Amino acid sequence: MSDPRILGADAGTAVREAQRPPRPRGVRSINLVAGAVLFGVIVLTALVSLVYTPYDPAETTGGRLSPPSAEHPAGTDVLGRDLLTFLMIGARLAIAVGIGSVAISAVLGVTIGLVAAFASRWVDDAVSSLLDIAIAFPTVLLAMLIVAWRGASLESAILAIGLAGSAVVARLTRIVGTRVLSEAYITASRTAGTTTARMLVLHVLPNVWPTLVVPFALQFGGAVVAEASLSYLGLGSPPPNASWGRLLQEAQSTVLVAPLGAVLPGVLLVVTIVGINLLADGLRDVVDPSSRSGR
Amino acid sequence: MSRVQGAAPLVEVSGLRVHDGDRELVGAVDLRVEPGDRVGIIGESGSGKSLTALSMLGLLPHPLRASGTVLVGGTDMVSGAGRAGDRVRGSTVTAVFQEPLTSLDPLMSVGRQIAWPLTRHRGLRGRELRTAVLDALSDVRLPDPERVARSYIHEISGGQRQRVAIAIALACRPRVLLADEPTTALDVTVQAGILDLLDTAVRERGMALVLISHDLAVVSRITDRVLVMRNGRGIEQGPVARILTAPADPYTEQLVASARALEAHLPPAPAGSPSGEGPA
Repeated sequence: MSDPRILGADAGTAVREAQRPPRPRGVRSINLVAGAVLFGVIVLTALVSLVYTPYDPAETTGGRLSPPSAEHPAGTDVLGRDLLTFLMIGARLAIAVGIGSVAISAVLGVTIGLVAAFASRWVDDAVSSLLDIAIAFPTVLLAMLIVAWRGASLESAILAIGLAGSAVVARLTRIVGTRVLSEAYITASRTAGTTTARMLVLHVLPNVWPTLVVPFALQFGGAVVAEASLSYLGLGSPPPNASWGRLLQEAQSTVLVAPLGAVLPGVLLVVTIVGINLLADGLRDVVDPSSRSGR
Repeated sequence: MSRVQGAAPLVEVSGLRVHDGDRELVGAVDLRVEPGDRVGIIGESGSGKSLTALSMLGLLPHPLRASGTVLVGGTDMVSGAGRAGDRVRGSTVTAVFQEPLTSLDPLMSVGRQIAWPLTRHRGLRGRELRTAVLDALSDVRLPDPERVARSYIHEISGGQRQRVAIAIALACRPRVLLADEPTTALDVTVQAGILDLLDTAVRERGMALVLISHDLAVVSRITDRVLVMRNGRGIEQGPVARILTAPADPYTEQLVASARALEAHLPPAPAGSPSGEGPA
């Protein structure tokens, strides 16, 4: 799942979906509500973990690999640490990965994409070719380079995923930006004396934004999965500050004895991804006023 | 109408050519617009009317190149496409285009779209700005300006959209307004209302008007002088009355004859026929 082409495919689907005629209203709101509930549970868990966890994550008093009990609802790991505590911390890390990498992708990608859209054909061609190369570059390799440079940590993973995603965002922004710039309302606004910089803030960004929201949400999900993959390969940080992917890796040697240690992080990953994808789908109708009521 | 004697013309186009690579799209167009003038440009599709207008705005689409002289308020719009052009556009010259649906931002409320030129060209803010936006909307005779200001363009009708586009153009207080087929995309009943609006708005503000159309009836109704274009060339220019009664060029003659033939097929209009313009 860490293959960047998969992230690219998601963005492509989003463009196609944005152009599809609107579905019946009921279907949309079910997606939005279901997505909000699933994703909300994860966000809430993450927030709670900031102020309360059942145990100190470093506390090793639970007995090795004990099954679920009143004291340890999700059991313990091989060193006797509370698994529920780890799962809650994992939720916090997942959200951090999503927000962090999407933020990096958004800032970098939108900037590069808009520069390419505004630039002369020569610069545009050069940027586009570089982006194609960047998109073809495997995220895992990029992550390993960054880990070699900065050491294995959550920040390294966020940086790698964010950088890999920014190329996809840049390409999408360039396409949408070029289309927006060729619209008649851009020419019309120029006739009122709007300068290029103003045009960007006034018309281009607001009109590019709705097309990007859905890919950003999808990318959030993709980033969580990508981080899990990197952690599973050992490029993430170890417990007590472990992401769900790292928990999966920790649990793989004991999966036959204590399956819950592998199942629970996996289930939470699925809940997060399904939740954010449903949310992304529902979100599109909220950001684009022209799709709210047909003309 | 006040005509400033001896001053430089507002718009001076001479020997304008527009090229797409080696292909000449517009060849040798000459046009002078004095303050308060009402000039029509007429011709069939592809005659170069719109390219002439875009040249005057310094907004030719990318691969096209203009040469010759285009002076608007003394600024060279052929070379001065950058900052100088931004200063001239809006304050000296502005435009209304054919299709109001695409020439307005779909994701910005009507009020904000009118507010921007008011801020830029007249420095209005806050309460003053709000009042000016509503005034601009009632100036173009839109009912319920408060509601229209809050609307997005997909929520109002075609005629109302064109009124909004005109309101934006007038909000800049330009000295000359280019109207490029402003009524072509509209219903016939709505067309009359829009033409009346342009006519009075320009007259009241002492602005000059350049009206581009393929429709001789539209042009002759609100302009004093006409430039006839064909295949990228200006073939005849003169007062409307003279063009209609004694066209010099055979093509103009043909145009006038076909307009008359069309008119003859219609029964005479009943006096005081209403021109309605309902909501979407």
